[in-house]
Amino acid sequence: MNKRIDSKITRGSAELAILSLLAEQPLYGFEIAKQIDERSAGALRFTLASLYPLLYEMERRGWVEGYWQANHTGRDRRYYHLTSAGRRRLTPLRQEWHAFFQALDRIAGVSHA
Amino acid sequence: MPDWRKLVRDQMPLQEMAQETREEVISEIAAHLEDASEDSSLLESFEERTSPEFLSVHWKNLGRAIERAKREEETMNDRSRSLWLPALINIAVAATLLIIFDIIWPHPVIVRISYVKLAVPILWLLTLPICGATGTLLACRAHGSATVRLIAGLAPSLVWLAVFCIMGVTFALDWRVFHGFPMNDFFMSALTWVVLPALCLLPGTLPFLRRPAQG
Repeated sequence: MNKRIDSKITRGSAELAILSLLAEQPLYGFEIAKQIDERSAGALRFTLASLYPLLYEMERRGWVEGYWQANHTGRDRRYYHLTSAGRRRLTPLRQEWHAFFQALDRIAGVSHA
Repeated sequence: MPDWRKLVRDQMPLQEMAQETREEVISEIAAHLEDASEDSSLLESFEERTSPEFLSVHWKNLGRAIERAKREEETMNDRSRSLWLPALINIAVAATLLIIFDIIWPHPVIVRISYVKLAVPILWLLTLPICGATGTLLACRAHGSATVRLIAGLAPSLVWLAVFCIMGVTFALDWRVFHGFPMNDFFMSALTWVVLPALCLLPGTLPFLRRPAQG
């Protein structure tokens, strides 16, 4: 069975995934993509085309802020950290997704699948 | 080791972007490719994404998507959507209602407090909870914080507060005007146009202050 999740769902969840990761610590683009890939066991995977437009849009909205800093190998990378506006966005977003999964579970019993 | 910056610069059209921003985007995407090329767990996907097909088709889409995402004037920013627009709509609705009620019922209720008479626009005040709810709900839907929602909900009252503050400062600075002005009337007018509207806006505002944003 292909465990990769349908692209429409991953697109909708991308915002939540990125904001949640950045709530823990500042990360740069590749780290964000890699952590999402690892933590979702490959179910969610970001490409260049899906990650950076979203990151830039979130930055324009003031939810995240980018800054250049050397990583552990000494190379300059553009890190992103969550702003207070991003934290405010994250709380209702988590609630919305929680409510969404609960509703879906009541209808389709997805937690027992 | 490939020159990732050159590859990105050659493949991704970012003509509509300012030079400084373009260079920053190119550096960031090149850094991503460099990391991906060195990371074995993503090597397969990296190879897929740097194949000739991907380079010739999707880079253009990526360039366009990045330009769209970076373009500030494309959409309203969050502050405009969550605060200014709801507040302005609230003020506009409240002002329109005030004008309409002034036309159809130009006789405000007169309330006498001590020797001061207050002309209270009672019909208008009764409709203000709807205005407060409208402003707060719009701010709520735009993911405004509780403070932003409160400001958007009380906007008509805050406009009057600003007007009375300016008048108060003017009176304080110009002693001649201040000296002859009936201050009791001033404070009673402030009560009518600031405090009473705020109290009427609040019942519409409060239910949406802590409600999760939707839409």
